[in-house]
This record gives sequence, structure tokens and C-alpha cells, in this order.
Amino acid sequence: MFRIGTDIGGTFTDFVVIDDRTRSLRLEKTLTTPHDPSEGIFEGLALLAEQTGTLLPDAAKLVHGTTLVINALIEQKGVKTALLTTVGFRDVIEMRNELRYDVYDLQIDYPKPLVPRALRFEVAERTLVDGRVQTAPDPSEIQAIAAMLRAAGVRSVAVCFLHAYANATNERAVARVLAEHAPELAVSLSSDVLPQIKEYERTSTTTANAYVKPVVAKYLQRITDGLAERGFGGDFYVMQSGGGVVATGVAQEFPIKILESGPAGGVAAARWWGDLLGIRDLLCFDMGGTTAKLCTIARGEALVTDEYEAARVYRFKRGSGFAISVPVFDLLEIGTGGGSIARIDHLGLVKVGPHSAGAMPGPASYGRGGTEPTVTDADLVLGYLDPDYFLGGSMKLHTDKAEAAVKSGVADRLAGMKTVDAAHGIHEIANEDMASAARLHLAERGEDVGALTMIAYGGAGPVHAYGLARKLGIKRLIVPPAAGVMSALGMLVEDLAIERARTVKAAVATLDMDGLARVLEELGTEARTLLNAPAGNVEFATVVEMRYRGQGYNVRIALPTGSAPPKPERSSLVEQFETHYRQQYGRVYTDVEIELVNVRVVARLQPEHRFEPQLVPPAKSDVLEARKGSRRAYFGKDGMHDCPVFDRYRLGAGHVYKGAAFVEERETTTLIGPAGGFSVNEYGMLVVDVA
Amino acid sequence: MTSSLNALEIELLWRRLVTAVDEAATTLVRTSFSSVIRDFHDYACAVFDRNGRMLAQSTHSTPGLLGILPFTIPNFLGHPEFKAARPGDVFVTNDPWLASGHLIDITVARPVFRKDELVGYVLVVVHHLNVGGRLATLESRDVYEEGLKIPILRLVRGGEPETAVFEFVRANVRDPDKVIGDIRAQVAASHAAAVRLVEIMDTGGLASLEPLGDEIVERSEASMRRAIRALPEGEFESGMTLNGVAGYTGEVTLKLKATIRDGSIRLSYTGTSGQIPRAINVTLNMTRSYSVYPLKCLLDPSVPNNEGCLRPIEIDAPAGSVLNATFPAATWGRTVIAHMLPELIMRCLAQAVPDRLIAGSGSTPLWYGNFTGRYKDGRTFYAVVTFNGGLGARGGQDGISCISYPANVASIPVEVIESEAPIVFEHKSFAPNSAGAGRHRGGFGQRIAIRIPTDAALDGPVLAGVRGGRFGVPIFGLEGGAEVPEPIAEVNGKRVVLGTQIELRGDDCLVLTVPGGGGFGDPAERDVGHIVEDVCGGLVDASEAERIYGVRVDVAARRGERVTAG
Repeated sequence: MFRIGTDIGGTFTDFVVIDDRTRSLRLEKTLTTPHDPSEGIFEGLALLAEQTGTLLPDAAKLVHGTTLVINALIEQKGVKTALLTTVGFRDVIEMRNELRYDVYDLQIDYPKPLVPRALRFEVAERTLVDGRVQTAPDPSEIQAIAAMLRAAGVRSVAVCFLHAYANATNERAVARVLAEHAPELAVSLSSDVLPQIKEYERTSTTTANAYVKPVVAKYLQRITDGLAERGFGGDFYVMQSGGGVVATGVAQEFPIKILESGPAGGVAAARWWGDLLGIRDLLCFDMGGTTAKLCTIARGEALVTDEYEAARVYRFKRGSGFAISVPVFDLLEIGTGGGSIARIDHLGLVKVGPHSAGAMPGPASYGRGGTEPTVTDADLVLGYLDPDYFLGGSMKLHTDKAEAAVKSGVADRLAGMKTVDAAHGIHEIANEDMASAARLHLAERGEDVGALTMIAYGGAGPVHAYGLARKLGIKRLIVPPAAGVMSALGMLVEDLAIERARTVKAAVATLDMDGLARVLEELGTEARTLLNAPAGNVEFATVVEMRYRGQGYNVRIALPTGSAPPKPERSSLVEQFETHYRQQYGRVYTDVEIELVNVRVVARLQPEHRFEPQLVPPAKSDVLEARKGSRRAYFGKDGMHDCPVFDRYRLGAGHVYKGAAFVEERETTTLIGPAGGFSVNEYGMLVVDVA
Repeated sequence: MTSSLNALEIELLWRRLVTAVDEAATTLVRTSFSSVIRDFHDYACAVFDRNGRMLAQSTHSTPGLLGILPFTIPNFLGHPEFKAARPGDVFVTNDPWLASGHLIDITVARPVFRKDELVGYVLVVVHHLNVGGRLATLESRDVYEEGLKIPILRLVRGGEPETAVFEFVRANVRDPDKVIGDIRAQVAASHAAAVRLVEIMDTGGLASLEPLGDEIVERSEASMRRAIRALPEGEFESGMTLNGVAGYTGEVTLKLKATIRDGSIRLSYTGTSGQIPRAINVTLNMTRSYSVYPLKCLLDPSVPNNEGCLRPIEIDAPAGSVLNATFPAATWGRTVIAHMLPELIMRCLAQAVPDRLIAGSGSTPLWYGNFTGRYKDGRTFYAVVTFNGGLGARGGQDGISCISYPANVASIPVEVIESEAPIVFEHKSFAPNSAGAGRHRGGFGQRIAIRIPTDAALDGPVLAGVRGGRFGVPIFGLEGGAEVPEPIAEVNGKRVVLGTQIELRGDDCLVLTVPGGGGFGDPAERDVGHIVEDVCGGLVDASEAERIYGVRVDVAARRGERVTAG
């Protein structure tokens, strides 16, 4: 049987096929077809079928990741959507949190709200903070609104009432009237999409869900139909932003859960590679043409955030987009990539990015008319890249053009600076920008960077990983095989899983423990129902978020996993909270109230077997037999070195090398510094010692 | 430049310095109990070289601390015990005149040693939950009413806490565990920054910070001066008079003369009224902060803050005036006055470079309410509410609706506030017709209605202290844009005075209309499509659109046409 992963990116649609009989991976890439992304999928599947004989009829599952949702939000290409709010709260989505995201820039702006004010309707209803209904909605008012929505050509509606996380009765009552009087409308309730306290985040998230819902429903249906026509009888799943895959029905109902499915796949794959080695604490580092992404895996789980933002006005400025508060892998995006441009700023200092040369004209070395020096140009000047083996040799790089750009753009403007030193400075500043961002990211999460192993992928990731790891004090670096299709692979190794979360805001000391157990059970049942799993064991993972009353950050505590959500004990909640708090902050408080905020239950289908990739054959010869050449490369204060260049595809398990070196594969080049070394393990991973 | 560091090395080291203070600040924010740290960004962490020059300050700190830290460190350096400090010593003060202008800001200072050699200093300032005294009111007449004053004292000696100091503070504040916890977090943050500072010196091969300091300060100063030289030279004046501040019957006049000459700006506040017996007086450090802030925004916003950015700006306010208040003036609510300074400066510079400025904002000065009281079972509550008006229109675009300026204060979600205090919001949305008209209009303000429930089992009233309001000063427009009138605060339909404490009982309803921003440019030039959008969205009444803009809007057809010349 086959299992197929496919991830649609901006440029390429990636495929990974796992053949369960041979335990092998088959990879494919096709160009993305933006006008109808499903075209590219079927084209790629046809190509793969040519290699494997039959494919879809023999496939047990197909998992999909897509940028459809995020693009619809950024480009504002969803459907005409209306928003129903509590009377007096029509502008919640546009008032946000009233904060400026840049203190010194008085020209800032925000993305236009997804629902214009004329389509935001107030409903005379109110639920109080404790869940009591003060005013129930009047069905005749909703009927009148339904008529207006139809007249205005609205196709989707978000219903977001105050305190709906505490009691969904009013939202559900409205949904019933809408279903009766305007059954063609897609409806998203905030109590379904995000039953959590904080009205702006809940409303913004639910509105975004409504805005893309009909678009995603149609898209997934088209693929489902296409697969059926081609004889596919397996399960069709979609990757979620915060891990786990879901059936298409769930993705159609909650499309907002799949908005970062591509990058999430990469993180899932990184975690999986780490698992194979028994490494539970990882810093995932993905660097491409325009950005770098970092994500932390701590204690075997990728960190998840509910502070995600979509459609930022400034891509790298937190607060400049609108809030999406469903769980998303906590990916930090940095404006540093191979195409980032180096320039001298008005202080006479060198800055790298976030401006990027993009694909056109691209770095100067691409020879497409670019004249400004980029990170890739600097890497080429330093000898870190082979001009004749970029993207497997499919694109020739021009070293002379890179040198000219670095010289005129940077070196000549700094008195007495040699071109190669300027190039090294650009490489270092790019690394420092990423290291600074990583330090802050980890400090905000209370994680210790020195305890992590770095796992690098993406076209430029393995080129910069060594330098970045050194700056961060990370000692070990892993470069997995098949790094060019990490996302598609990650989707295949993820389990079917659904999270349901809810706010239960109460002091732990006086918390109704039976009530809490009931909520956990309800969440478990909801998740189990949505999972709609075929026969198999469902496992429930439960997380409670607690804090000291008055502090703004929640501590997440995992309760025991089992065949049902647990019935927590008060004393053990307190004990675990204090243990975690002490670990993170070195102390606990005795006279400050501990407060429960949110609870989360994940229902996860246990897979029948875990995929173990076919082992790389043991090395039969000396490592130098895998050498394809050598290059002179410049390492700044560590000098100029003659470095062997290894062919990744000829390295075997057990090969070891010490000293500066490069390992080349089609998609990327791994740099190993003069004091470092690498080995190859049984799975074909490069394990690099950083020193 | 004077040092042997090249442009690449300077960039790397400078970036690392800024990251070091941001990293230290991050932990502080994460563990703080003071929601003012978290939601108002009212904290700062800064590093100084051995000469006391500020080299880097945490990026997200409030503008209110912008000008203060470089003037705090000399006060520590003038203290004999601080000068004789040994490794592991930490000092503290909250003296408004030595540090950041009101008692509630506590400053922790740490000399940084590499081995036994002094290499620099770290300051960590935090706005605390309370320091004793009267709860958040503008009615205090002198600083003694405002709580505990901590002179410069040693807080930690060689890594060991000075128990007496901690105990003295503990005995004089409400919520002592949280306040002491936040002070400890400051000490920890100063340690984290100090460790990083030494690490940066070690890995960067720096024998001392001064060469790097020279580069940072001199380059930043030169850049600021270049930006000032691009302005027209001359003398520009502005002024405003506030009436009835916090129930004070006299007038408070603010006067500014700005002199732009030869790459420097001199701001003189001569002619400003004397300090008053209300908690709105501004110490010179705070005057510096909000004087420098708008200039930094206009002239050189992207350079990370350091001493060099401040050097080309000279500030002078007469001693004993409300902008350079002397001991024992009350200072708790100084933003009432200090937040007007960016407006004074904008109005001054409007005579020189109008197109780069923004009109007056409805969120100026900071609007802030606290609701306190007690339940019958003895539990108490304390909720903070902020509400921001509209940003003034800008030369190229409308103002943003409901956004903090010149402070940067997040609004706390209604659902969270209602979970912390027995108050019910009946309304919180944009106030129609609240924005100043113009080619670009101001942002809209908001209308808020808060009712006290009748079934909350309260013991006594809810005490509401609401700060904000313009005290007779309209929100100005620019280049022919319309100004915006005074805000309105009412309880059960009756006007109340802002800045005094209000007693609210069951079923009482407090209604605030926080104004929008002033307009920019002639309203007759406003794009008709934008007017139609505002009218169809219910933000501008059709009759108002016709009266102010001379545009008749057909809502059903979503069309408008100009009927008069504005």
C-alpha cells in the first residue's frame, strides 16, 4: 500500500510517497498552478503513478497541505461575509487591542477588516460572565437580519457574542434561525471555532473562519471528487497548523485550523526525525529565499501558540495583522533569506534584509540583472556554494557578478574593506539577525537554547545552520535527508488528531473539580466525534493552562494521557503548577491565588504501525571515497581553508569526517566549520558537531 | 569615527546589545504581576558604559521612559555607596526627582563587573502595582500622600538581599508579595543583562565598552543632527491652557518655544504655569521623555534608542513649573500634562513641516479608569480599564480609530474585565461623528457604557477613578482639518468631572464618549468614495456628511455626489 503526502507551496507542489512494502520514500515536485491548485496535484500524482505502476487505487491515505487559507486572508479573496455581534459591540474586530505595533512609526496602518462595518449587525442579546443568559435573542430580529444578509448577497456569517465561551445558547439559537430562514449561508459560531475568553481574538478568528469557509469547502470537494474519479478509496486528510491531521469534513467546517499546514508539516517532520534518534529537544531551522523560520520542540512536543496573526501589514512586525487564535506551531518568521539584500544604512552600518531580491531579479549571482549583494552572493564569494551545483546544477551561479555586487554594494563603501571580508560580514550579520531573533523567541518561552539540538532544512538552512548554532551555543546539528520535501513528509507521519479547548476561568483553590472533569469529558466527546476515526485506539491528551492570578502568561501542564480524559485532583494541579513554575522561574508564591484559565483535550488516533524509513546501507569504503571535489572557503578569523566537498548521495551510514567540509545534495549544501565535523547515521541523517 | 571597530563589527555588537536588554526585559514582562508592565509596556531595561552613557534600551518600552534613563544614572553615580559598589551589589530608588518622575516607578541599578573590573551599568525600571499611599487618584496634594519613597539604597550586597530594605518596602505596600516579587524580577533581569553584557565583551574581544559606545552614540547623534538640519531653521511657538484639571480651579498654561538651529533643537517651556497641588505635576525627566518622543518619531525613528539620539535636543523648563516640578509636588498622574507635550511640539512644528505631522488625537492624554470595591463576603476587586480615542489624521492618510497615543497602552478585553470586577459593559464601539473632518479625517473615538449590576452582593459603592479628558483644550486639526470638541463623561445622564473619584451603586451607568482625532487638510478635498464608505458604515450621519463635506450620499446605491463646495 502507498501513503501520499502533498504540500502546495508558492512555487512548487511537493509530493512524498511512502511505499509500506519497501519502506522507501519517493519524492516528486511539480510547479504550483495558482489558478486551480488541484491541477498541479493531479499532474504530480500522474507523474508518480508512471513510476509506481498504479498509485491512487493502491493508496491507503493521502494527506494534503495548502496555502489556500492564508492566501485568501492575505489577498482578501474570501467570500462576502457578515458578522453578528452582541448589541453595543459591533466594532470589536476593528478596535483590536488599541495598541500601536510600532512605537516610533506614526504612519502605521492595519489590514482592512474582513467584514466592513455595513455588514456587521448588532443583535439584542447578552450572556453574562458567569454564563447566565441576561437577554435571549429575539427570533424575529434574526429573521430580519437573515433577509438583509440575503439581499446583500452575503454567503457566510460569523456569530460572535460576548461570553459565548461560557454559554453557547444564544449563538446556537441564532444559528437555528439562520438555518431555517437562510439555509444557503455558511455559519461559523465563535463558541464552536474558539470557545475561549477574550472577545477580540475570538471574534477575529471566527470571522476569518467564516470568510474562507465556502472557498475551502469547494476546493476540498474538488480534490475529493478528482481522487474518486481516479480510483482512490483511501482516507483523504488535511494537515492542521498545530499538528495532527483531520478529515476533510472537519477542515471544511474549521478551515482556520489548516492555515499554516505547510510549515506545520516541516515541523512535524523535524519532530519525527528527532524521535527516530531519541532527541526530544530541537530547534527547527528552515531558511529559504526570503525568510527563515524557527520553531522549538521541547520535551518531544513542538511548542504551540495561540497568538498567531494573519495578513500582517509588515510581515515581520508583531501586531500588524489580525489575530488568529487557534493553535499553530509556534513558528518565528525572520526576514533573513538567501535573497536578503545587504546595504549600508544611514548610520554607515551594514544591514541585511528584510528587503529581498526575490526570485526576479534574484541575487546578483543569478545573472538575471540583480546588482545588489545578497546573502547568497556572499555565500558564493566565501566559497560556501558551488556555482556549478546550485539546485543540483540546474542553475548556473556567476561568482564574478556576486563579487562585483559585494564589492560595490558593501566593501567599497567601507574604507579598506576586502570583498571577502565584507562577504563574511554579510554572512555573519545574517546569522546574528537570526540568532538575536531566536534568543528573544526562546527567552519569551522560557526555554534554554543550549539544551537544544538544531535541525536544519530549506535551501539556505544547512548553509547557515553551523554559524547560527555556534552563535546560540548549540553543539549538535542534524540535517535530515529529503529536506527538500520536509512538509509533505511531515504530513504523512502525523496522526489523525483533533483538539477542543475551552476557557474555565476560576481559582484552583475553589474550583468545582467535578465540573472540571465534566468539561474535560465533554471536550473529549466533542473531539472524538469530530475525529470520526475508523476503528482504532483513540488516545486523549489533556492540557490545562494555569497562572498566578495577575500574571499574564499561562503555564501549560500536560495531564496523564489515556483512553479517556482524566479526572484531575486539586492537589495535583497545584503541585504540578508549582513544579513547572519553579522550573521556569526559579520560585513560587505562597499567598498568590493560582488560577485555571483554559483546558484543552486532544483526541488522537493511535496508528497501527510507525513508519521506519529504510536504513542507509553501511559505509563500505573510506569517507573520502564520497568526495566529489574540494573548494577554498573563507571563515573570517578562522581563516581560509581547503575543504573537501562530499556527495551526500554517496555517503553511507557510519561515515565520519573531522574538519571544515561541505556536503552537497540537489536542494542544499551543508557547511561544516574548521573546528567541527560530521557523521552519517543509519537513517541517512548528517549529524554535525558544532565547535 | 574614533574606534578601530569596523562597520560590520559595530553592527554585530550593537545588535547583540539591543538583544541583550530585550532578552532581559522579556523575562521581566513574563513574570510580572504588574499588569502595567505587560499591557502598558511601562518598563525599561538599559545598559550603560563605564562613563554612564546609555548604549541600548529595551525596544518595546513606553515613550514615557525614553528620556529618563540617561538622566537617572548620573544620580546613582553621584552616590558614594554606589561609586564604591562591589560585584553582586544592586541599588534601588523610586525618588521621582532622581529617577522616573513618580513613586510608583521603582528603578533598580546594577554596576556590571567583568571579573573585578567595573565595565558598565544596567538599569531596570518598572511601574509597580502600588507603593502604598492613596489609590490611583489625581487628588493628592503632595508626594507624601502618594506612598513610600525609597531613597538610593543598596538592595543586594554581593548577591545577598539586604533584608531590611525588602522588609521596609514589604511593610508599606499593598499586595506585598506581588510587589516584592516584581522587584526581585527586576534584580533578576539586571543580572541577566549583566551576564550578557560580559559575554558580548568576551566573544567580541572587547577590553572595554567605550570604543563601541563611541560608535553607537556618535553615529546616532550625527544621524539625528542630519535629520534636524533638513528642517527649516527658526523659532516657533505654541501654547495651551487647561482648565479644571482634577478639580483644581486655576488654569494651567503650557508654553513652548522651539528653536531649530544648526543641527539642534532647543525646546524651552518658559512661561509655563507653576506646579499645582494636584497629582499631575511633571518632573524634568518626564518632560524630557515626551519632548524627545515626537521628535524621534518625526526625525529618526529607526535608530535603536541611545544617548546619542537625545544629544541634539536641548530641553529647558523653569524650576517649580508644572513641567519641572520640585519637591514635594504630587506627580502620580503626570501623563495628564506630559501627554500634551507631543501636541505642543506638533503644533509648533506645523509652522515648519506640516505634511509630516499628525493632528491632535482623542486618546491624548491617556484615558484610564480603575474600579475598586468590596463584596459582602469580604473579597475585594480592582480592575483597570483603558479606552483610547482616535488618532489624529496624517498628511497621507486617515487617523486610526481607537488607538493609544502618545502612550502605548493595550485595552484589556471586556470579557476579562467583567471577570475581575462586578461591572457590565453595555456598549463599547466606535462613536459615530466623532472624528475631525478633513481631506484625511481623524480616527474615530469610542462610546463606552458601563453599568453596575444590582445583584452583585456589594459592600458599599464601586469607586471609579477615571483619568483622561482635555480640560478645555480642543483636539487640533492641521492644514484646515477640523478640530474635535471635548469628551463627555456622565453618570445616569449627569456630567461628572474627570480625574476625581466617582461612587457608583447598583444600576448606575457611567457613559464616556472618548473623542476622535483631528482632521488634516480641507474637508472639501476628501475623496467622495471614502465619505460614502463612512456613511454606509454608520460612522458619519448622512446629514453630517452633507453639512461638513458638502456630499450627499445615497446609502442604498452606495453612491455620493458633491452638492456644495464644502
